[in-house]
Amino acid sequence: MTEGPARRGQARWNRAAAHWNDFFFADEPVLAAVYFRTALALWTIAFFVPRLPHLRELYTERAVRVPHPWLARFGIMPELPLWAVWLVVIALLLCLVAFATGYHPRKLHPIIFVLLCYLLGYDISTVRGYGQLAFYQWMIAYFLSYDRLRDASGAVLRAPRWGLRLAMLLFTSVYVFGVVAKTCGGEGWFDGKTLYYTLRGHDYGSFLLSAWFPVSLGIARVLGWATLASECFIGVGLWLRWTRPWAVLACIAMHGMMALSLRVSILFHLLMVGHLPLFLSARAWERLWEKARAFSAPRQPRP
Amino acid sequence: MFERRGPWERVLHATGTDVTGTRHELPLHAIFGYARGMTRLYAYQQIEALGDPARAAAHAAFAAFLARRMAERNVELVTIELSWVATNLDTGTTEERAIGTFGVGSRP
Repeated sequence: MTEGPARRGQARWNRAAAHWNDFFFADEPVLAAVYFRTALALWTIAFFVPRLPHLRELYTERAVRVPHPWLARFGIMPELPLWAVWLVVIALLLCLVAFATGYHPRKLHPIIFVLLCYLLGYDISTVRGYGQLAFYQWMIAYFLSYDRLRDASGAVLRAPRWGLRLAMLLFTSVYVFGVVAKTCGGEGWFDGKTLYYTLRGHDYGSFLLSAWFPVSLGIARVLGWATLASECFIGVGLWLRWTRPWAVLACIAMHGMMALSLRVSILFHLLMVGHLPLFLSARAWERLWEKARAFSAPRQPRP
Repeated sequence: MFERRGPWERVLHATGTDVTGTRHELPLHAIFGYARGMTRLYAYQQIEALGDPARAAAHAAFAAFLARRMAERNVELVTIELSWVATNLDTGTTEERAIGTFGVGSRP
């Protein structure tokens, strides 16, 4: 009499364990990991290039010393002279180029991380939002199998995907916690005032669409609710096979609209949209790889 | 990024006075060239200490920093006045909120 429920319970537990193991530890082609390695490095280069004309302002004599709270705890952050800051930035950019191209990425990764710790931690324009996401992705990316794309026979390598899963979880958590921060810690999202003043203001708004078509408070309220719903949907929908395409579309549409109406760096949108290929299935990556190989293979002359 | 946003937007103003008493509007956008992303938010607008009336030492340090930057432009200042000019987006009214006047004549 009691064996049935016990067996069913055990079977459910076994299925859950199998799902867990499959989610984190199944082997898959390292194509997504190599893509992420390259994309993250190129994005970081794009992040630092606009800062090059402002290195003195950002990293040397400080108007008011405000090191990152984590680094302030150590109290040992040296203030480098400008020439040394240039050396650090050039070293970082060279390491990033080598890392993106797959030249000893495993050895370069810790060096890049240490250089980022200094530059992001000591930046007068304290890194927030997408800069922080990129920094944490650099930490997590060390657990990706990005070292080599192909084995000696030319076949694409396969490896457990748990590092990639962590990067994907971090990405989607940004949307989920964004909703929590807006609704619990923030104000003016339910009545639309935050979006209304953001779009009308000069700090972030009055830009392209928001300048051409000023929104009323009523429309801002609708947009605010739509933003919250979209963020929830993206954060959850990307993980479910049947909602994934719609979540991808929602993510692209939301960032497209933001890019066309708010003065937020294009780097933010590139970083977020650049995460979406991670949610392609292993089969889809393999198909893309085959197409890319076929496209780049030398054409046989017709007889 | 903008978890909360009110109707007020503020801009920092800095005015210096040299030994002859001539007043100079400080070119903050030239001293601080880096704006966050595509925003009009420069680094000096994000220094939290400037919005905290209790942090007078930080305000004085910021004024001394500006004096050094102005000296590089061959403008020797003896005092610098800092203030926020806030604009209400609904009504268009502006309010000046003084941070303070700081002596920078004997700057290091």
